[in-house]
Amino acid sequence: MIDNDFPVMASGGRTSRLRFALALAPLLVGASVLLAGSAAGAVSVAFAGEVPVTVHAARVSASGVSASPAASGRGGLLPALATRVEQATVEDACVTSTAHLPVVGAVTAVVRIERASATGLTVEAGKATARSVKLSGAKFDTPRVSLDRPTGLFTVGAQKVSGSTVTTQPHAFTAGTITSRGVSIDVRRGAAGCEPRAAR
Amino acid sequence: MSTAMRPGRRSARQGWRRSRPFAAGLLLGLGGLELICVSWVGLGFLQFTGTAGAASWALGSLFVVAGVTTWHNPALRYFSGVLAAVLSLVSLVAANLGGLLLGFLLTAVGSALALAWIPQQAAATPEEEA
Repeated sequence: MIDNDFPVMASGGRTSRLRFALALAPLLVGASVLLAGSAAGAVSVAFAGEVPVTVHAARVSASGVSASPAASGRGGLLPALATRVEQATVEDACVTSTAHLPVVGAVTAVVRIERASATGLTVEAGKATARSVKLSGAKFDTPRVSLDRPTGLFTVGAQKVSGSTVTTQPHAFTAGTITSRGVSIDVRRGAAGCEPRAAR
Repeated sequence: MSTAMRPGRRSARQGWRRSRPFAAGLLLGLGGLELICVSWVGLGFLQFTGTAGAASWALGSLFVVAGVTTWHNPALRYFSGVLAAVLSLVSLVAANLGGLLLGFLLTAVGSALALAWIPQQAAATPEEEA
Protein backbone atom coordinates (compact mmCIF):
# COMPACT_ATOMS: atom_id res chain seq x y z
CA MET A 1 0.00 0.00 0.00
CA ILE A 2 2.75 2.42 0.92
CA ASP A 3 5.20 3.06 -1.86
CA ASN A 4 8.59 2.97 -0.20
CA ASP A 5 10.32 3.89 -3.45
CA PHE A 6 8.51 7.21 -3.40
CA PRO A 7 11.44 9.41 -2.28
CA VAL A 8 13.43 8.31 -5.32
CA MET A 9 10.59 9.05 -7.72
CA ALA A 10 9.41 12.37 -6.32
CA SER A 11 10.90 15.47 -7.85
CA GLY A 12 8.68 17.93 -6.07
CA GLY A 13 5.25 18.40 -4.68
CA ARG A 14 2.49 20.80 -3.91
CA THR A 15 -0.11 21.33 -1.22
CA SER A 16 -3.70 20.83 -2.24
CA ARG A 17 -5.82 23.56 -0.69
CA LEU A 18 -8.90 21.36 -0.86
CA ARG A 19 -7.17 18.51 0.98
CA PHE A 20 -5.74 20.97 3.51
CA ALA A 21 -9.20 22.34 4.27
CA LEU A 22 -10.69 18.84 4.44
CA ALA A 23 -7.97 17.73 6.85
CA LEU A 24 -8.05 20.82 9.04
CA ALA A 25 -11.83 21.19 9.33
CA PRO A 26 -12.44 18.00 11.39
CA LEU A 27 -9.58 18.97 13.68
CA LEU A 28 -11.03 22.39 14.37
CA VAL A 29 -14.48 20.90 14.88
CA GLY A 30 -13.03 18.34 17.30
CA ALA A 31 -11.12 21.02 19.16
CA SER A 32 -14.26 23.15 19.41
CA VAL A 33 -16.20 20.20 20.81
CA LEU A 34 -13.46 19.47 23.35
CA LEU A 35 -13.21 23.10 24.45
CA ALA A 36 -16.99 23.40 24.67
CA GLY A 37 -17.08 20.18 26.68
CA SER A 38 -14.40 21.52 28.96
CA ALA A 39 -16.32 24.76 29.41
CA ALA A 40 -19.47 22.81 30.23
CA GLY A 41 -17.61 20.67 32.75
CA ALA A 42 -17.97 17.47 30.76
CA VAL A 43 -14.30 17.13 29.87
CA SER A 44 -11.51 17.40 32.41
CA VAL A 45 -8.44 19.28 31.25
CA ALA A 46 -5.11 18.40 32.83
CA PHE A 47 -2.85 21.26 33.73
CA ALA A 48 0.59 21.01 35.24
CA GLY A 49 3.71 23.01 35.33
CA GLU A 50 5.55 25.67 37.19
CA VAL A 51 4.52 28.44 34.84
CA PRO A 52 3.92 31.69 36.73
CA VAL A 53 0.24 31.69 37.49
CA THR A 54 -1.86 34.21 39.38
CA VAL A 55 -5.23 33.05 40.61
CA HIS A 56 -7.98 35.44 41.74
CA ALA A 57 -11.13 33.88 43.14
CA ALA A 58 -14.21 35.52 44.61
CA ARG A 59 -15.01 32.47 46.75
CA VAL A 60 -12.96 29.41 47.63
CA SER A 61 -14.02 26.39 49.63
CA ALA A 62 -11.91 23.32 50.33
CA SER A 63 -11.94 20.22 52.48
CA GLY A 64 -9.15 18.04 53.80
CA VAL A 65 -6.58 20.82 53.83
CA SER A 66 -3.06 20.52 55.22
CA ALA A 67 -0.21 22.97 54.70
CA SER A 68 3.42 22.96 55.70
CA PRO A 69 6.55 24.93 54.79
CA ALA A 70 8.48 23.57 51.84
CA ALA A 71 10.95 24.61 49.20
CA SER A 72 10.01 25.10 45.59
CA GLY A 73 12.73 24.81 43.01
CA ARG A 74 13.01 27.27 40.15
CA GLY A 75 16.61 27.91 39.32
CA GLY A 76 17.23 27.62 43.03
CA LEU A 77 15.20 27.00 46.11
CA LEU A 78 12.33 29.29 47.01
CA PRO A 79 10.47 29.08 50.29
CA ALA A 80 6.90 28.05 49.71
CA LEU A 81 3.90 26.77 51.56
CA ALA A 82 2.98 23.34 50.25
CA THR A 83 -0.76 22.86 50.58
CA ARG A 84 -2.52 19.57 50.00
CA VAL A 85 -6.25 19.76 49.38
CA GLU A 86 -8.46 16.71 48.98
CA GLN A 87 -11.28 18.61 47.32
CA ALA A 88 -11.51 22.28 46.39
CA THR A 89 -14.08 24.49 44.70
CA VAL A 90 -13.55 28.01 43.40
CA GLU A 91 -16.21 30.37 42.13
CA ASP A 92 -15.85 33.38 39.87
CA ALA A 93 -12.15 32.83 39.35
CA CYS A 94 -9.66 34.38 36.98
CA VAL A 95 -6.37 32.67 36.20
CA THR A 96 -3.59 34.43 34.35
CA SER A 97 -0.48 32.66 33.17
CA THR A 98 2.34 34.34 31.30
CA ALA A 99 4.75 32.09 29.46
CA HIS A 100 7.86 33.52 27.85
CA LEU A 101 8.15 31.40 24.74
CA PRO A 102 11.07 31.28 22.37
CA VAL A 103 10.59 33.37 19.21
CA VAL A 104 7.02 34.41 20.11
CA GLY A 105 7.89 36.26 23.32
CA ALA A 106 5.51 36.71 26.23
CA VAL A 107 2.13 35.07 25.78
CA THR A 108 -0.52 35.46 28.44
CA ALA A 109 -3.46 33.14 28.81
CA VAL A 110 -6.37 34.60 30.76
CA VAL A 111 -8.87 31.99 31.85
CA ARG A 112 -12.10 33.09 33.48
CA ILE A 113 -13.98 30.37 35.29
CA GLU A 114 -17.48 30.58 36.66
CA ARG A 115 -17.01 27.54 38.86
CA ALA A 116 -14.29 24.91 39.06
CA SER A 117 -13.65 21.97 41.32
CA ALA A 118 -10.47 19.97 41.74
CA THR A 119 -9.53 16.81 43.56
CA GLY A 120 -6.13 15.71 44.80
CA LEU A 121 -4.77 19.22 44.53
CA THR A 122 -1.26 20.07 45.70
CA VAL A 123 -0.19 23.70 45.51
CA GLU A 124 3.20 25.21 46.32
CA ALA A 125 2.52 28.90 46.82
CA GLY A 126 4.80 31.67 47.95
CA LYS A 127 2.08 34.27 48.42
CA ALA A 128 -1.62 34.24 49.21
CA THR A 129 -3.99 36.94 50.36
CA ALA A 130 -7.68 36.76 51.30
CA ARG A 131 -10.28 39.22 52.53
CA SER A 132 -11.76 36.68 54.95
CA VAL A 133 -11.02 33.07 55.85
CA LYS A 134 -13.16 30.66 57.83
CA LEU A 135 -11.72 27.42 59.23
CA SER A 136 -13.47 24.52 60.84
CA GLY A 137 -11.75 21.56 62.44
CA ALA A 138 -8.45 23.40 62.43
CA LYS A 139 -5.31 21.80 63.78
CA PHE A 140 -1.73 22.88 64.25
CA ASP A 141 1.12 20.50 64.76
CA THR A 142 4.79 21.12 65.47
CA PRO A 143 6.88 18.00 65.63
CA ARG A 144 9.39 18.35 68.48
CA VAL A 145 12.55 16.59 69.36
CA SER A 146 11.81 17.45 72.97
CA LEU A 147 9.46 19.78 74.84
CA ASP A 148 11.62 22.85 74.26
CA ARG A 149 13.14 21.86 70.91
CA PRO A 150 10.85 22.03 67.87
CA THR A 151 12.11 20.57 64.61
CA GLY A 152 11.38 23.83 62.82
CA LEU A 153 8.62 22.54 60.56
CA PHE A 154 4.94 22.78 61.27
CA THR A 155 1.71 21.59 59.74
CA VAL A 156 -1.51 23.56 59.64
CA GLY A 157 -4.64 21.68 58.73
CA ALA A 158 -8.38 22.03 58.65
CA GLN A 159 -11.31 19.85 57.79
CA LYS A 160 -13.03 22.68 55.95
CA VAL A 161 -11.76 26.04 54.75
CA SER A 162 -13.64 28.80 53.01
CA GLY A 163 -12.37 32.18 51.93
CA SER A 164 -13.45 35.19 49.91
CA THR A 165 -11.52 37.42 47.51
CA VAL A 166 -8.53 35.14 47.45
CA THR A 167 -5.41 35.88 45.41
CA THR A 168 -2.49 33.51 45.22
CA GLN A 169 0.57 33.00 43.08
CA PRO A 170 1.36 29.31 43.09
CA HIS A 171 4.87 28.25 42.08
CA ALA A 172 3.74 24.79 41.16
CA PHE A 173 0.59 22.77 41.32
CA THR A 174 -0.61 19.28 40.59
CA ALA A 175 -4.22 18.23 40.29
CA GLY A 176 -5.76 14.83 39.81
CA THR A 177 -8.70 16.23 37.91
CA ILE A 178 -10.03 19.72 37.34
CA THR A 179 -13.63 20.14 36.26
CA SER A 180 -14.78 23.59 35.31
CA ARG A 181 -17.95 25.30 34.17
CA GLY A 182 -18.41 28.58 32.37
CA VAL A 183 -14.87 28.91 31.07
CA SER A 184 -13.70 31.63 28.73
CA ILE A 185 -10.13 31.61 27.50
CA ASP A 186 -8.28 34.53 26.00
CA VAL A 187 -4.71 34.26 24.78
CA ARG A 188 -2.92 37.52 24.13
CA ARG A 189 0.62 38.66 23.49
CA GLY A 190 2.47 40.44 26.24
CA ALA A 191 2.20 40.17 30.01
CA ALA A 192 -1.32 41.23 30.92
CA GLY A 193 -3.38 40.53 33.99
CA CYS A 194 -6.99 40.04 34.96
CA GLU A 195 -9.05 43.12 34.38
CA PRO A 196 -11.74 43.59 36.98
CA ARG A 197 -14.98 42.02 35.88
CA ALA A 198 -17.85 44.33 35.17
CA ALA A 199 -20.08 44.87 38.18
CA ARG A 200 -22.93 42.42 38.27
CA MET B 1 35.61 27.34 -5.22
CA SER B 2 33.26 27.76 -2.31
CA THR B 3 31.33 30.54 -4.05
CA ALA B 4 30.90 28.29 -7.05
CA MET B 5 29.48 25.59 -4.79
CA ARG B 6 26.91 27.85 -3.15
CA PRO B 7 24.34 27.97 -5.99
CA GLY B 8 24.60 24.20 -6.31
CA ARG B 9 24.08 23.69 -2.58
CA ARG B 10 21.20 26.14 -2.55
CA SER B 11 19.45 24.40 -5.42
CA ALA B 12 20.10 21.03 -3.77
CA ARG B 13 18.59 22.35 -0.54
CA GLN B 14 15.59 23.73 -2.44
CA GLY B 15 15.22 20.42 -4.21
CA TRP B 16 15.33 18.62 -0.88
CA ARG B 17 12.62 20.92 0.51
CA ARG B 18 10.41 20.55 -2.55
CA SER B 19 10.65 16.77 -2.59
CA ARG B 20 8.94 16.42 0.80
CA PRO B 21 6.26 18.18 2.93
CA PHE B 22 8.83 20.50 4.49
CA ALA B 23 6.41 22.97 6.11
CA ALA B 24 4.40 20.13 7.64
CA GLY B 25 7.45 18.57 9.29
CA LEU B 26 8.64 21.97 10.47
CA LEU B 27 5.31 22.86 12.08
CA LEU B 28 5.00 19.44 13.70
CA GLY B 29 8.49 19.76 15.18
CA LEU B 30 7.88 23.32 16.37
CA GLY B 31 4.53 22.36 17.89
CA GLY B 32 6.13 19.48 19.77
CA LEU B 33 8.89 21.70 21.09
CA GLU B 34 6.31 24.32 22.10
CA LEU B 35 4.38 21.76 24.13
CA ILE B 36 7.57 20.85 25.96
CA CYS B 37 8.59 24.50 26.39
CA VAL B 38 5.28 25.50 27.97
CA SER B 39 5.65 22.71 30.49
CA TRP B 40 9.34 23.45 30.93
CA VAL B 41 9.23 27.25 31.31
CA GLY B 42 9.84 27.92 34.95
CA LEU B 43 9.88 24.24 35.77
CA GLY B 44 13.55 23.87 36.46
CA PHE B 45 15.50 21.27 34.60
CA LEU B 46 13.68 17.99 33.98
CA GLN B 47 11.07 18.33 36.67
CA PHE B 48 7.82 16.61 35.93
CA THR B 49 4.74 17.96 37.60
CA GLY B 50 1.93 15.48 37.53
CA THR B 51 0.52 13.62 34.59
CA ALA B 52 0.16 16.71 32.42
CA GLY B 53 3.90 17.43 32.77
CA ALA B 54 4.78 13.93 31.62
CA ALA B 55 2.12 14.08 28.88
CA SER B 56 3.65 17.31 27.57
CA TRP B 57 7.03 15.62 27.18
CA ALA B 58 5.58 12.43 25.70
CA LEU B 59 3.29 14.20 23.22
CA GLY B 60 5.96 16.76 22.33
CA SER B 61 8.45 13.98 21.60
CA LEU B 62 5.93 12.15 19.42
CA PHE B 63 5.24 15.33 17.44
CA VAL B 64 8.96 15.81 16.84
CA VAL B 65 9.24 12.18 15.72
CA ALA B 66 6.24 12.66 13.41
CA GLY B 67 7.86 15.78 11.95
CA VAL B 68 11.18 14.04 11.37
CA THR B 69 9.36 11.05 9.83
CA THR B 70 7.50 13.38 7.48
CA TRP B 71 10.81 14.86 6.35
CA HIS B 72 12.80 11.65 6.23
CA ASN B 73 10.19 9.43 4.60
CA PRO B 74 7.44 11.42 2.87
CA ALA B 75 5.76 8.16 1.87
CA LEU B 76 4.69 7.86 5.49
CA ARG B 77 3.11 11.32 5.52
CA TYR B 78 -0.42 9.94 5.87
CA PHE B 79 0.57 7.87 8.89
CA SER B 80 2.45 10.69 10.60
CA GLY B 81 -0.23 13.21 9.60
CA VAL B 82 -3.11 11.19 11.02
CA LEU B 83 -1.08 10.34 14.14
CA ALA B 84 -0.25 14.01 14.68
CA ALA B 85 -3.86 15.06 14.07
CA VAL B 86 -5.15 12.67 16.74
CA LEU B 87 -2.38 13.60 19.16
CA SER B 88 -3.05 17.32 18.66
CA LEU B 89 -6.58 16.77 19.93
CA VAL B 90 -5.25 14.68 22.82
CA SER B 91 -2.86 17.48 23.73
CA LEU B 92 -5.82 19.79 24.29
CA VAL B 93 -7.02 17.78 27.27
CA ALA B 94 -3.76 16.17 28.40
CA ALA B 95 -1.05 18.80 28.09
CA ASN B 96 -1.79 22.25 29.45
CA LEU B 97 -4.58 22.96 26.95
CA GLY B 98 -2.39 22.02 24.02
CA GLY B 99 0.50 24.17 25.20
CA LEU B 100 -1.78 27.16 25.78
CA LEU B 101 -3.48 26.48 22.40
CA LEU B 102 -0.39 27.52 20.41
CA GLY B 103 1.06 24.00 20.30
CA PHE B 104 -2.30 22.61 19.22
CA LEU B 105 -2.60 25.13 16.39
CA LEU B 106 0.94 24.42 15.13
CA THR B 107 0.50 20.65 15.17
CA ALA B 108 -3.04 20.76 13.73
CA VAL B 109 -1.92 22.88 10.78
CA GLY B 110 1.22 20.74 10.39
CA SER B 111 -0.75 17.51 10.28
CA ALA B 112 -3.23 19.00 7.79
CA LEU B 113 -0.32 20.12 5.59
CA ALA B 114 1.18 16.62 5.74
CA LEU B 115 -2.11 15.10 4.64
CA ALA B 116 -2.62 17.72 1.92
CA TRP B 117 0.79 17.35 0.31
CA ILE B 118 0.71 15.80 -3.16
CA PRO B 119 3.96 14.55 -4.71
CA GLN B 120 4.81 15.36 -8.25
CA GLN B 121 6.09 12.21 -9.87
CA ALA B 122 9.25 12.55 -11.92
CA ALA B 123 8.90 11.85 -15.59
CA ALA B 124 10.27 8.44 -16.44
CA THR B 125 13.48 8.43 -18.48
CA PRO B 126 13.54 6.66 -21.87
CA GLU B 127 15.81 3.99 -20.40
CA GLU B 128 13.28 3.26 -17.64
CA GLU B 129 10.44 3.13 -20.18
CA ALA B 130 12.41 0.65 -22.24
